[in-house]
Amino acid sequence: MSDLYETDILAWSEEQAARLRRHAAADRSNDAIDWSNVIEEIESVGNEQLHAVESLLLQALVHMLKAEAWPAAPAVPHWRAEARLFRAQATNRFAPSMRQRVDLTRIYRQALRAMPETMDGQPPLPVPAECPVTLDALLGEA
Amino acid sequence: MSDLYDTDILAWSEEQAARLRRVAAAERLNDASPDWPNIIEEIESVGREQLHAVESLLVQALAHMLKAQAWPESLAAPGWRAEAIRFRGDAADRFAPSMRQRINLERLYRRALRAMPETIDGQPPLPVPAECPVTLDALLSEE
Repeated sequence: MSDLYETDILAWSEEQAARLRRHAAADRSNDAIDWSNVIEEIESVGNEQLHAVESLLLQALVHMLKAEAWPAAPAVPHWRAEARLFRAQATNRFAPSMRQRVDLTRIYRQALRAMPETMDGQPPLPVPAECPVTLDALLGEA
Repeated sequence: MSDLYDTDILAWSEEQAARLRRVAAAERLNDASPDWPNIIEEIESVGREQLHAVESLLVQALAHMLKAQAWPESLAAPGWRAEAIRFRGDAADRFAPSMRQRINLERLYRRALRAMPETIDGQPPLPVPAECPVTLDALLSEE
C-alpha cells in the first residue's frame, strides 16, 4: 500500500480517497474529522501530478511543433533542447495509472492552438493535424 | 471545522493531522485500512506548503524593498518597489492567522540581506538596517 505511494501516486490517491470514504461512512464516532476536505485533499495529491504531467507534455509538443514548423529558425536547437527537458520531466512524474487518463489527442490539439501564427515574419510549414507520436514514444528516451 | 479550511489552512491541516493520528491509533488495521501514515503526511503538508509559500513571498518582498533602499537612484528602483508591493499582496492573500507565531521575520530579513547583490551598475549599496525595520502586520497590510 505504501509501495503504491512511491510507484503510482495517482492510483494511491484514488484508492486512499475511496478507503477514506468507506471509513467515514462506517465510522460515526469521528465527527471531529473534516472528512470531505480531507478526502478532497487526498484526491488532489494525485490529480495535481496528473495535471503536471499533462502540462509538461503540452509544453514538449509545442516546442516540437515549433521546430517542425520553422526548421530554419535560429531557435530550433533551443526548442529541441527544451522539448527534451519537458519530456524528461514528464517521464519523471509519470505514474502507470496515468496512461488511461492522459488524452494525448486533446493535448496535441491544445499544442496546435498554442502555435504562433508567424515566427520572424515567416508562416509555419505544414504540421500533422493529428498527434504523430505515441505517449510511450514521448515518455521514452528523447 | 470546514470554516477553518477556508479561514486558516495551516490550523486546519495541523488539527486534522492530529485527529487522524488518533483515529489511526484507535483503529484495528486490516488490508483495506487507509494508508494512515502517508495520508497524515499529505494532510500536514497542505498547511506547511502554504506557510512556506508565504515565507518565500515575504523574503522576495523584503529583498526588493532592500534593493530600492540600497540603490535609490537606480533606474530599476520603481520596478523593485512595484514588485515588492505585488509580493506583499500575494503574501497577504495566502496568510492565515495561525502563521503569525510561526513566521520568524528576523530570519526572513537575514535571508533577504544575504540575497542582496554586492553592487548594482557598479555602485555599492547605501547602508540598510541590520535588523528588520518593519513588522509582519505592516508587511501584510496595504502599504
